[in-house]
Amino acid sequence: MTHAMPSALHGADTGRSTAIVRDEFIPGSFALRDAWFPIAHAPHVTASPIRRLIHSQPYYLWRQGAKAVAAEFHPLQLEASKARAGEFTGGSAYYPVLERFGYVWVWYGNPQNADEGLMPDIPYLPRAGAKLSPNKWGQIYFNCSYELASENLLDLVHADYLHSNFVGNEENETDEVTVESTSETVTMIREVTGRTIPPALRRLGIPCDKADYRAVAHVHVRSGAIVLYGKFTPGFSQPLFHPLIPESRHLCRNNYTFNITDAPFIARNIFPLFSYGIGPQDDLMMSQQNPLYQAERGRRDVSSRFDAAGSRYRMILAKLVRRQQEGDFSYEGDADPGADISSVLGCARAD
Amino acid sequence: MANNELWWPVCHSEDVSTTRPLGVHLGSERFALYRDGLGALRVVEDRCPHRRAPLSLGRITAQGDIQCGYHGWTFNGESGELCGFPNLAPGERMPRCSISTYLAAERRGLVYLWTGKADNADLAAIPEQPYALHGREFHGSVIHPMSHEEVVAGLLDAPGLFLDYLGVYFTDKPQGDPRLANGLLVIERAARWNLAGEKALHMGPLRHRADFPLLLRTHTAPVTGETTAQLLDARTERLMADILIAASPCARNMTALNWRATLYPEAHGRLAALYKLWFARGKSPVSMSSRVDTGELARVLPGVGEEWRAFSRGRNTDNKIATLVAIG
Repeated sequence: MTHAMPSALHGADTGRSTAIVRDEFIPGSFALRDAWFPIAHAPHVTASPIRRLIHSQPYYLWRQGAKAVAAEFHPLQLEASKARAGEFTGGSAYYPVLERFGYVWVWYGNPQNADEGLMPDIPYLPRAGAKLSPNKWGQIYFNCSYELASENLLDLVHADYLHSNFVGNEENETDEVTVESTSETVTMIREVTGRTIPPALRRLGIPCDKADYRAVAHVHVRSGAIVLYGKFTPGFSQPLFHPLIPESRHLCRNNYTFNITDAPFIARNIFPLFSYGIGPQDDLMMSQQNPLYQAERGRRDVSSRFDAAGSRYRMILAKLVRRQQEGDFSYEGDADPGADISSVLGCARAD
Repeated sequence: MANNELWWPVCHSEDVSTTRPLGVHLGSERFALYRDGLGALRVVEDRCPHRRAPLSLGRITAQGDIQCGYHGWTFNGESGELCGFPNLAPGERMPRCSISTYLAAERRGLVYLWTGKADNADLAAIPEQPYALHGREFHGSVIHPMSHEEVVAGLLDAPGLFLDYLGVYFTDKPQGDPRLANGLLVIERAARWNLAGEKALHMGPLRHRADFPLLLRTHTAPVTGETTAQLLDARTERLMADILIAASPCARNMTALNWRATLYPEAHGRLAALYKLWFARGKSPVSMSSRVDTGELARVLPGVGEEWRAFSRGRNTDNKIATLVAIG
């Protein structure tokens, strides 16, 4: 799929520098565009308008009847403000909107390029949406740019260390990590045998001290939509859709859905609440990293082999930024964000 | 910091442990402090070179090394060298990297951090304060929303706005000119009982009492502004209570103040009895104010503090303080 878009660089209006220091990772320095963002959980969008942001661009969301609407302006000021409508709504003040997988998705970029085929696939969520109990979805803010939060999810070593109480530590019999990528996505597959099961998980229904574990993180670099899938054998699977909505250089919103289906009742309902324990642990670190990455120049990070997925992410991000700086917002031939990834994740499709 | 070859008091000795690192700011720089397996004080830059997380959010290993809380990268606090991280296979080579380490020393219950070149560090350059522990001691920390220069100038011009001496009033303006003793600026102020509050001095039945039976003597290090304030009986010059105030610049141009207070057991008189009672109740009758009345501070007329400000900026070097320090 290729979408050429001869348009001015975006970024100046959000106060961001469009200059990237070559080979330096400066999260939040460039607003990547032309992508679908799951900006809100579908039940949050009602007849009464809500306001959300993508790279500081305002999105007002509400429903007209059953149909979700997204506009640049509050509905009460829409008519009066229409003359000020920008290029991201093609001058109409209305953004392209779709409702899929239990989310309202909006397009950030040239509306003429808004193609449903570019929407990320989430195989374990029904495309038409499903009524889920409120403890299976929620919102968490991370006080950092979405790039740092994306890299965090590609880095499973930190999970063994920072979140060991929730997901287990590094004491595995074997541990193999594979990294795959396209020009738009990074996929990290981790296969572990003999993983020590922490007490919290044993209480939730994994009936042994050690289990095998397969975890996949599939990151859409442009949109920050991250599809996570983990499975303990014996045990249950952890299908976590973890989109990171970049509101600013300093803040991203995680509209997550954690719909475990194959675990005992208690685990199905308690495990998703771990997000409120794990999220703040990550935020404690990422919020501290963010200002250092944005202010420091010339000090390179030291990496180990465990950072392969994060390093690949940085490389693909840098390439995308470079292309968009040059005015190329298209998707390259190898990129197919909407491709079925159920076999990569190792899960069954929900529909 | 105008002068980067200094020993800066940054925290209390009790704050630095063998289990969790302590993060401190000194100006815009961040440091992590801890004690290694032998109890030796270690100071490193508060930044992991792997993914820039603060090392102060990490932990101390059983071997006495500092470990980052994000990915577990572990560093030796003496050499700064990376010495391991989780998931490493046996015999696997680590990336070569290290963190900056700094010199630190402890005096009078405070930790002093050297901000200059290690070769130039001279422990004798830590100001000799007259503060000494006498029996029970209290300590605390406050952060004032003003620059280090403003805090030190304010302490010199209006100590009453920064210090809480239970039941004591002292004048803003010093008695006589500052003098230099042991490299410290010594300033004295008249003081007296004021249990009824300051207004009573001017309006109440105490207004005709012109006697000032107490004396507040401050000893201030000329550059860092570290100060010992001593309350004395004016007639006998017998010491009653000391407070040591360590000011250091911290983030956002604010100032961290770590203070320690002690009471002389041999002090006697009504005020000493009150102070002893307070100590016995587990409270310090002498402390730093947690808030400064900035409106009141703005109205304080320039005095010694203004001279100090000019001295610290290297201007008007013919003023009293500059002359004293030059002679000293």
